[in-house]
Amino acid sequence: MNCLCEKDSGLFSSHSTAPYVLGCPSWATSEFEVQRSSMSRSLSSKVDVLPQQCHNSKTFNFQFQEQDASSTKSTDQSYPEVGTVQSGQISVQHSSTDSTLIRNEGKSMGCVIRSFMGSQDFPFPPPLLDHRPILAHIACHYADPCYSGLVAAAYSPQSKPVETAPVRIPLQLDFAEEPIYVNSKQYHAILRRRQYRAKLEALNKPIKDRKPYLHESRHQHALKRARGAGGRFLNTKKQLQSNHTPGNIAESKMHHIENYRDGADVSYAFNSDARNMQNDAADKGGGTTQQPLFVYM
Amino acid sequence: MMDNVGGSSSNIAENSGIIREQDRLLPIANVGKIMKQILPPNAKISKESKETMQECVSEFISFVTSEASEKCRKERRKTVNGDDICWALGSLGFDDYAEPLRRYLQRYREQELDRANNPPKRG
Repeated sequence: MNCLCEKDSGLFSSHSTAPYVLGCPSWATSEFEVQRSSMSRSLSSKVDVLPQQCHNSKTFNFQFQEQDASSTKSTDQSYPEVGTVQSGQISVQHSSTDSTLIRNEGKSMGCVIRSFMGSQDFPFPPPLLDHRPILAHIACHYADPCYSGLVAAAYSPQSKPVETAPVRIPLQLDFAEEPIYVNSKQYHAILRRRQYRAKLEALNKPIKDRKPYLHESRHQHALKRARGAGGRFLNTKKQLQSNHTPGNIAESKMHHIENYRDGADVSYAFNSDARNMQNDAADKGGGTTQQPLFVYM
Repeated sequence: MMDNVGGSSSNIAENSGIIREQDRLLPIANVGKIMKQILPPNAKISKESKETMQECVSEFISFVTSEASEKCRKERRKTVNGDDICWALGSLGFDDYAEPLRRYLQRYREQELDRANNPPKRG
């Protein structure tokens, strides 16, 4: 009990005396030490959080919900446990703190969850809003060392990272590698997809370009099809219209023949009768055109 | 038999297990049709837009499916069913989509039951 009192007083004293910028790492260090201690101390710290304002309690529940999702991913669970987690989320939505604490006691947490727990305690003690973004960034910074090996193994310059709208607000701090903020629920899945895409890149290097077509025979068939104005394929009706074109050509030829006959100068009455007969023959068809020529001879 | 471009490349693909483009991506014509449904009638979609959306939706399908597959692997199951997909959407933070998809899945199963109980009569 005395140790708990001393550590709690240490936290508050560091908060009151330390400068604004330096206060955060000292909190992080002390919180990490508290985290290493027994579960009862973390429970006591949570009990201290309870008197906070309603808004803070909402934030608290929201972070617990995120934690449940991450714990669901990290641990091996059977189907009934998934149902339990869902019921737990329902209880979180009803903002029943006691069930939340009991459920947290029952779970075994890994390194990731511990870092998230440590980060969760930060926003509540400071009353000012300005502290929260910096603390959130510290939380992200804590998350990075746990995944540094995975990130180094998974990341490849050829793969395209999937970036979604982040839940946490990014900070404009000067770092060599500015981190990319993603939804915490999707973090593991994104890393898994990066590894898989890196493997695909290794396999599919010879075949990267998009093929213009998949099947040669279909391509040849498309090349043979008739195309209209603008390059589009002609449909059935347009093809029927195109069948009339030879008829037009024949008509133009017949017209040419008529011009040839009209060109002949004839001044006799007999010849004029023959011309009338030629016109009638032309109306009927081209087959009988030769007979008027015979009559003329 | 499918007429592929280059018989030798298909043999190489079959031997080394290379995933072909048509196996990795959705058909671009279907993507274009789905995009066209939400646009006004006189709108046009560039090929670059279709290709970009093709990459995005194919990656999203793989993203959700890998999450569902991981859950099945942990539970020693081989078949990924609709419930696993809905769970995966929820665990990845797409809760707004998981709930409508559960309702759709329920309605789909009811429709399948009706079809099984009342087979269509053939005249």
